[in-house]
Amino acid sequence: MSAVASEMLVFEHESVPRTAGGRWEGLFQKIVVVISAVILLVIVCCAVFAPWLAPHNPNTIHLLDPYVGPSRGFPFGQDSAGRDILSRLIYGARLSLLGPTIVVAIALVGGVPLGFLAAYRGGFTDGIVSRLFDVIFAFPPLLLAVVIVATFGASFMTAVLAVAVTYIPLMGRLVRSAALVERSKPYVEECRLQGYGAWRVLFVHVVPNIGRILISQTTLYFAYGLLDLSALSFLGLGAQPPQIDWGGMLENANQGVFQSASGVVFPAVAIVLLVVSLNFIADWALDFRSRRSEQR
Amino acid sequence: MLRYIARRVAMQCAVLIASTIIIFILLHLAPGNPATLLNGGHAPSPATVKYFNRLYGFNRPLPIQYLIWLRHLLEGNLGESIATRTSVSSVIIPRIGLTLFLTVYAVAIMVVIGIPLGIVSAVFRTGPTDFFASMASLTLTAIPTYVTGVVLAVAFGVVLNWFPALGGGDTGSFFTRADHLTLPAIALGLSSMALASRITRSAVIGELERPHVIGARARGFSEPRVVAKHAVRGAMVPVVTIVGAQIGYLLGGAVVIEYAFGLNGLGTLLVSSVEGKDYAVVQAIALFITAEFLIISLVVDLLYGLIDPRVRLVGRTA
Repeated sequence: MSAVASEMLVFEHESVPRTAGGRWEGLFQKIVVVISAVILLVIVCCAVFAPWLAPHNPNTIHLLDPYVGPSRGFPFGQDSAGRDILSRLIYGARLSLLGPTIVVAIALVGGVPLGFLAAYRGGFTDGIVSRLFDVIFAFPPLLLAVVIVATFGASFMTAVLAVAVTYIPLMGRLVRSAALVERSKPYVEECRLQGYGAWRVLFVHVVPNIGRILISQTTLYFAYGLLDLSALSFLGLGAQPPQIDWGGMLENANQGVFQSASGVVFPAVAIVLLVVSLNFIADWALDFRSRRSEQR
Repeated sequence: MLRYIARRVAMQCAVLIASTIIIFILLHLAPGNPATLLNGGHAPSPATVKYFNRLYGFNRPLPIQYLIWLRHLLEGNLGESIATRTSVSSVIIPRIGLTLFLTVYAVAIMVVIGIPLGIVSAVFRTGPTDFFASMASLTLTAIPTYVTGVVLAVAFGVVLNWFPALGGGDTGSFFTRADHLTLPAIALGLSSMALASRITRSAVIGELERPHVIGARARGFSEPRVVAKHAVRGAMVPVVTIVGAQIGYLLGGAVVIEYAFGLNGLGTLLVSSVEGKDYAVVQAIALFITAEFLIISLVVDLLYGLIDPRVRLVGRTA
């Protein structure tokens, strides 16, 4: 799924009355969310404590043992150059988390003020900002990132910045449409009558009201940022050796997929687990806040 | 309707021009100068500099350069590939077929399977199954195409040997090609299909509870007719939106899938051109795919106008 499409999940929550599931269903969703949170925590711990957790040096080459399956010393097996896949997974968590974090941070810093500006000022400003977004949306996602990488040369930071450029308008458009809805509500009018400044109304009053959508979308953008960056690494256009990330591991293993499947399976499982967990958490965040507001 | 079409076409043309400006400017933002970039990252010899200056006017002001570049583009002159020393169009044109075939195949999987699946699951929804179906589709939408691709290639291409795991069946007939591209197309289209069915399902559910559908039921129309003529039609706007957005995603995703399966399409050429710093080819492929995407967005916009007549009026009274 693309990040553009993730907005549709918001639509889904806004428009569809959820089937009034029994207690059983709510319990199941809670279990899924707890498992997701645990997975997320484990991956974050791997990234933070990598030097202590990894059993081997992730870049030590054992040329005599390429594509060896799981063994006692190497529980996840060895890759094309005999390197320990488990250690590489643990170290790979670092860039695989850092990349999307930077992407999301840039998207927030760039997209939120632009979106608010467009919604609040309206008219000409809105036109300019929206057309600017349209131009970036004109490129299929990933394609613009590939062209930017082609221009500036393949590296981890180039890939991160290239992906971030495509997320700024996504965030901006989301914030703009959410803020437009809020702007027409009476409480904003009330605040204006009280003589509050635009930025105060924005951060003290509007942001908390669209926080639910913002948090859940940021979580999803993190997941899609990870997918986009992994795709770039998979194409050899992201992090370059000796840097390690999961997409790059997948690329390395894919070339020898007929010799050994474990090199492909483990990074693939890591990416999918992380993305699916983030999806469930985002889904729950949308539900959670709306349930709370219903109770009020 | 005619005014609506004219306005949409004009908008897309403006966006297309803007996107050519972006691709043009990127060439000039690169470290070094554009002549270096077009020369594969190596410092060009004086003769090459002279050749580029004559061809692209690099010694002239930027807006003039853009116009020269645009004129070349309109004449179909996309420059010369450094890798092959032939014109870019001669490198690209033979590969377009495979990429189009793959993308159309994946779009067909998304539309032909995803949308009916969503309608059926909306009509026959029951508590627990509904919940698990929604979980399953959420999981499926989260799996990246290249992972699906590698898994499918190993499972059906190598272990079961139902389909060829590698190659595009370039020289064969339509059926050889379809045979070779089935696994890549499924890998490319699977998560989009899950998403399309999820959105269709929720849109149809939302529509089934609206007064006009209840009204149709009350007038005694049969249930299939109520669903097909009243609920589904009203639900089509978000579905068309998602299909349009996903086609853009599929165009980008095709690059990755071609690379994963080793197919000789535009995507693999794009990747090898980025690696080989063959910038003229990168530019041309980017422009081609972007133009494709803009045409599809235009079609989607026009479909909105057909499905929901209110859309046509937006902006007319303002």
